[in-house]
Amino acid sequence: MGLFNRCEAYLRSDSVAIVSLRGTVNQLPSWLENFYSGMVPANGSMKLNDSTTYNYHLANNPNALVHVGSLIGTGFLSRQYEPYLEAPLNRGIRSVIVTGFSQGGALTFLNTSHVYYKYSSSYPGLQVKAYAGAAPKPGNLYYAYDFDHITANGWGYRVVNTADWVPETPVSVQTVNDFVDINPITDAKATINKQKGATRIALKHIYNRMDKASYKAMKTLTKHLGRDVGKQEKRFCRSCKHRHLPTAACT
Amino acid sequence: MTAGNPVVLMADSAYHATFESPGANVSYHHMYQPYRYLLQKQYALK
Repeated sequence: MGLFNRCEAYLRSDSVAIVSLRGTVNQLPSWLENFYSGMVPANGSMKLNDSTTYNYHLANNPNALVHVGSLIGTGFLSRQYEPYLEAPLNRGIRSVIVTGFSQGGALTFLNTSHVYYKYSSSYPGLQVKAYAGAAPKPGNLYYAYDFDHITANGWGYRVVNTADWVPETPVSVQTVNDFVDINPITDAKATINKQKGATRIALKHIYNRMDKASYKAMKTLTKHLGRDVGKQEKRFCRSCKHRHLPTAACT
Repeated sequence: MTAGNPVVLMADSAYHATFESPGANVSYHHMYQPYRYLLQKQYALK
């Protein structure tokens, strides 16, 4: 299915529904999911195959972005486990654990958000708990804020070995535009222009170097880890042969 | 950006003495065994 994503869903004896997500396997499509780390909005829709569209809402913050590879995995996986999750929910069970290791850890974040936002209003009292082991980064800061908010008070954990490189991936960069609306960084040029003579020239030089370097790094990452990997991903998806790109952002 | 409450498994000198990195396997510290070792040692995992 998709990029070799698999999961298991089962009901524990103490009435806790558990969704366990598989990590990377030794197949190229599975690795492509890890490297396909372009950032896309956390809300929108994506065509998974000719007959299936994945409508997703993974964060309330409109600035939240998630890695597209993990999003594709979440799209395919959610279709697989949802029938097995809805059955216990319809029987009154309200405790759900989402867990996974490695790639499954990154998918744990997104699938926790998916389950929370899809079911919390129709199943009042639903409590989703996340255990992400050795997980890569799932998205940008605003997605992380949203995830930490919906799992506040001890409902979302990530387990990390400090010698492990995987939780440090995918490679990311912050530009001067990646701040909340009101900040002194994005429009620093206005402040710099108020300075005098040599100070203004020196500060402008430093700011421009930081701005251009980070912007160039972002463009490079977008090209190679977004567009280029995306072209390969469509060749290897086991469910279809087209690129999985968000078609529209929904509100 | 990462997310979630961190459960940090600190790879200290004792850990590195136990799990010396073999050059060929770059994912050595990503395996279950190092994680299990640190969870047992630092979080009393049974």
